[in-house]
Amino acid sequence: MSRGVDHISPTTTARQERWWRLQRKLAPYLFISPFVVLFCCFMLYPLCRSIVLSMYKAAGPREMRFVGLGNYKFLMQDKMFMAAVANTTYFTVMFLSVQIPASLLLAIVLNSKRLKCRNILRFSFFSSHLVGNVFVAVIFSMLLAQRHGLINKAIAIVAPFIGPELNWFGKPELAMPAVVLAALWISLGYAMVYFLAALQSVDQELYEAAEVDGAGRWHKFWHVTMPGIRPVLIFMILVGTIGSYQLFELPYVLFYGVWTNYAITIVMYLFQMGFEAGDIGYASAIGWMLLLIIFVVSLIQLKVAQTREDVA
Amino acid sequence: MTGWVKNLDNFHLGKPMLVLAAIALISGIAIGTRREAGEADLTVWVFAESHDKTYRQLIPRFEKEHNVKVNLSLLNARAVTVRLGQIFMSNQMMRDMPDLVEVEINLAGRFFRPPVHEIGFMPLNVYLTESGLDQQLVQSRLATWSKQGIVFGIPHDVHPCTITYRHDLFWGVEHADGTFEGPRIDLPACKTWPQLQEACLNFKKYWRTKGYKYRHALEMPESSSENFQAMLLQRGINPIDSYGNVYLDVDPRVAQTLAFYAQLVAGPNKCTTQTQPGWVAFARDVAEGSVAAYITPDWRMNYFKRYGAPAFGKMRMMPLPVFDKGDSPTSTIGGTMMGVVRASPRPEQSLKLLEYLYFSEDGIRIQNETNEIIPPIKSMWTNEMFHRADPFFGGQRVEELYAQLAPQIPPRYVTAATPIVNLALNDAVAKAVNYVEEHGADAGLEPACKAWLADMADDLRKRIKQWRLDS
Repeated sequence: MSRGVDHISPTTTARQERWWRLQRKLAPYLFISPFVVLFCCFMLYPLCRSIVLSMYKAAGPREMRFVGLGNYKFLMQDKMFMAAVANTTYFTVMFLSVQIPASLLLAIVLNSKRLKCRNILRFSFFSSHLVGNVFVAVIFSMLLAQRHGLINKAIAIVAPFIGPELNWFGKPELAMPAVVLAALWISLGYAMVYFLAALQSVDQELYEAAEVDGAGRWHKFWHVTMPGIRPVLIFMILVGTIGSYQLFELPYVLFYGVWTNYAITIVMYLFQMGFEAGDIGYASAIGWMLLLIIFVVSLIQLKVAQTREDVA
Repeated sequence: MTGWVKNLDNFHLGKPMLVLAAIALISGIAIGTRREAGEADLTVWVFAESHDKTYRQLIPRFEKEHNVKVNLSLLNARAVTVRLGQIFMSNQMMRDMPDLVEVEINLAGRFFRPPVHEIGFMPLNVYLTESGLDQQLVQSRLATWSKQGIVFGIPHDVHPCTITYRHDLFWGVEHADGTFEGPRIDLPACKTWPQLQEACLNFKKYWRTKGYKYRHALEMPESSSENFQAMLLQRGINPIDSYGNVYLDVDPRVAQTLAFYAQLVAGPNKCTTQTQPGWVAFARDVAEGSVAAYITPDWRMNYFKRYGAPAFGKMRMMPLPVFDKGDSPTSTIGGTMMGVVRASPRPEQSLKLLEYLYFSEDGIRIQNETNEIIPPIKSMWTNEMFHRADPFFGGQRVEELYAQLAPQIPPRYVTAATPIVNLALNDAVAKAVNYVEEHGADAGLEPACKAWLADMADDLRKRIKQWRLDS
């Protein structure tokens, strides 16, 4: 049934060859096409569309008016947006300044060979990250409840003069710390895993050499561990900053229905303008401004890190 | 078989990838073979479980009588807003597009943002006049669901507010040995807010001397403007009307009310507390008597019965106290409308279904059995079910009280700016509370409130101007 190679005419062989060549040329494009098509439909087009939308006043399908940079101009003098930027920045600074050292400390402790049940402890700390943000927010709204919340009850025992009625969600000075508390609970274990991996990749010989040189614990940490985990540290700060500026679910659920200028974040404000007030154009402008903020902050961080590296 | 398992064991991408692939395959098959909901003649979206429960009992009869198939979907309130908003914005007929939708008051504003001829719901003024419903419904409730005089939704409810309170904690109880324990405060005798505050301060004083450090007279939030806005409505003030006019700095009573509210919830004359949203903390507060009185719209009454069983027979109800003589003894919190989507291919059938669900005898009866709310149709209030003695409230006819108050509810407007107004007023409350905590309720409080409100009104006007397409 099958025809031998010697039966194939030279024209057929040439055609096959051309076909194969064409396939070789097209195959990579064919393989990446599902991603490219999906990316264009669900990422590139919406992104471009949102740039266009941010330059319109939109009130309905047929009621759109081009305003150029009008939305951005208004954003610059929008007090609520400024409050949202200030709150989000406050959260980012407070969150990162606790999360990074605490998770690093946790990683150092859990990296110690003298510690028993290390794997169980590692999993226990990481497990909080497996729970969704919304679920954590619900748990924390119960934990922080006035009179009945576990945290408030504990405070009343430790500090009876404060009592069990701390209004975490109603006081401007307590609102963001409440969100930070919940965010730390989710993310400490997650950051710890990264630091743990980084600690394990530090060359052991460097420690031995440092010991020979008479370095103490602190010197070993500062001069061996820190340079060793530096790339991961920079990565964690960068990712943490980006994630913090995108903060939404936690405060959205924690302050459900009671949004105030002292607890609103940039994404919450975007959501409110876009989905509750129906101003899609203005919401798009907020989205692009958020992107710009994240870009500038990340750039500054990278620049600072690079400068320090150069100095070192 | 063993070889096959062995092959799986040696899966070249590793076991986790194999498990993931298996899960993807199983869930793909499950989704692919899922039975589609049958084609329906009418599709209804609701967001409240109690509404869904009520309508499910009513729809079979409607289907039989009108020979149609109705598909009722229960969605999260926010999901309704987002999906419906997308449908209206895309201006396209969609396969799953609803004919009738229920929208919650706090989320309805965005649908009233476009010019009236562009709003995604069908205008109902002609229907209301022709059916005579405009005369039968509580007029002020139609205002909530209208823009510039055009009505786009039929009210599901009225939600008049009262104060429910623990009679045993305010007045007291006589023990079996003949001794009496309680502050003997006759709360319904308080006809004005300052009188109520005084009564609440006496309550606080009495229970503190008895050692109850965390027993509070009244639930009133320190960081939300919901109750403050209810007070404003009592005085006939809407922060913003359906034409986008802002009244925060126009009427001096707004600043007066804010100043009063702030010194009620903070400072030396504080006699209130805040409860956590959700039923868990609420149930414990009711059971333990940590909070003795609550502002109660009719929908909340059911919460007391469901979660506050230890308070059975101890609760009572009274109208809201007022500030001035002409004020309303009630207000309104919450609300739902049902609208017919403008693009619905079956508007007449949709309106028939709406009428049946909202205003039929069966509909009102089942609704009352499910959530005990007062319907917006006045002729129904004479029905016996709204005049029963309620054992939970010590035999008081509480629904009768709601029915008496319902015609007096002030009109409340919802606009696209409402979420921003709420945010601004929440902030105003927070600022006023902070002032009282730092300085007390001194002479500077009201001018300070006036200045914040003027600032906020200015900001709101700028926003509305920015939003408007004619500006």
